Amino acid sequence: MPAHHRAKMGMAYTLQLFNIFSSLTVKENLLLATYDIPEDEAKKRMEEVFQLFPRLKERLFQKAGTLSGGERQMLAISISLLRKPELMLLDEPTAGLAPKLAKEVFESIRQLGDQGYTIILAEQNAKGALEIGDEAVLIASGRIVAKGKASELLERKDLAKMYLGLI
Amino acid sequence: MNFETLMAPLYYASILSLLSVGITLSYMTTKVFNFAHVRYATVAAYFAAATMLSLVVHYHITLNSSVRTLGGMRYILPLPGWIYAVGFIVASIVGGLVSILLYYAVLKPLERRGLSPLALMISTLGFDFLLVAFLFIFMSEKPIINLAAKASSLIGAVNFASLGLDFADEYIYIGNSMIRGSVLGALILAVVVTIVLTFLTRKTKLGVMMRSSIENPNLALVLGINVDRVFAIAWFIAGLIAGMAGFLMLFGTSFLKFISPTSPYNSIVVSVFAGAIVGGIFNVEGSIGGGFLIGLIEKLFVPWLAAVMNAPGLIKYNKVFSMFAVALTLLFIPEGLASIRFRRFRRKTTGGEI
Repeated sequence: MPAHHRAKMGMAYTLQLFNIFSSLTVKENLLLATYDIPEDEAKKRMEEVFQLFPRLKERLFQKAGTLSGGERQMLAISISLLRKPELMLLDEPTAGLAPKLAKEVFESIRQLGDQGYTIILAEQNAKGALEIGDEAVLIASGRIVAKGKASELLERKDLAKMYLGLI
Repeated sequence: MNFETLMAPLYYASILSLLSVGITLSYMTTKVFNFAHVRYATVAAYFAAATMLSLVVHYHITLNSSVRTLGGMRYILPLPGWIYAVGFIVASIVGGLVSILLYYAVLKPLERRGLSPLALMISTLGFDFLLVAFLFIFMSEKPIINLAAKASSLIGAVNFASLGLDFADEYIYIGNSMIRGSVLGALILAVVVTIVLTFLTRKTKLGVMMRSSIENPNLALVLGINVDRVFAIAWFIAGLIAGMAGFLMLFGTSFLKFISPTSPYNSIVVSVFAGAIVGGIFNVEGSIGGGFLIGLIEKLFVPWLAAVMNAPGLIKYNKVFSMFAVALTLLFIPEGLASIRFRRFRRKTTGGEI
């Protein structure tokens, strides 16, 4: 099945790199995600996104390539959000971000989860991801090492030592 | 320099710019240099000529070269206006369809088999041979003028052949000076195409989709954009504009007058590519300007240089100057004139606030 059909069926995928169109303005990036949605509905969704990421509203007419790392990730997530996906795939949204920004991004992902979005998050920052997740699967060298409730995995001392680098 | 000597260079430059922009459009989208592009114009010219001639024959229209007026403007249009309109529409649509055919019947299947852009480029050369063969078989191996001769022998009264397929001595008078309709048409068309393309790529939904698909096709797909279709539309537009250029060629002053399956192609294909590269292979407006610039270099600058240096033989070598312009561009501003950021110079001179 071609990728654009999957997207139409309600799957949203946020790539790890090159996940925004840097030669387009922020507004054009957002419009692209809503091009097949009725205009007033698109407007409503855009307002919702701005509530989550108020900073994007200030940068609306700026080229997306000039955004900071954190803002880029916010824009990338917003693009997916505007499509009101049944399933969101996020590929390492905090890669390359300063710890403070990473925290902000995790916080917004948690909010999205609370709003009822189904999110699959692939993340190397295991602690941060486990803190916000419900279910978790720990993969090392291509094999599943552990799975279960995120909060339980976070408490297991062996995992913390061997894979999560927490101790 | 009088007005009359500017006609041919302006006409030539406009046609080049209309063709260069198509090269850029198709390169930007698929990263393929389209060698068949300039031939679209020839194919479109043949279809337009055949259509117009059959209309003339069918409706027993006779040429009328008397001066008419329209809203205070005096002009000579030897055939009724609607025949030109039909010819124009046929030419543009044929150009667009040929382009779409190349995209869907040749490029897409080959791309699916994993061929590199280089191999795809060679395949456009193959498609070009097919187009030439098609023209040889179904139209004529001789210049279009033979079609005209055939048509005039059918209705007897009108002798197209003696007019050299100048369908038109379509002059328009501006004040007391006279401008050929084809020159005015070519100039207006070049300007209109620039404005429409700028608006289309910057302001419309399709334009945003096009730019996004060019920058990052994978991300565009993930957002549900049918990238293939967006690129096909870009190719259609490129062909459409080439078809318009083909229509204009029918009214050419001497250097483009004798259109045959191979003739205008061979003499302008180098200049068209030069225009696209000099103007900016990644910039639609730039390539229009580049085509215009190359046209003026070949038909205005080189003759001037020849006159100044008293070396009339130089005019024959005008393509050398185009190639020289290409070489300079690739050496110093590889992305073309359009990639120069004039703002940056200004900032440097004012002492650099960032």
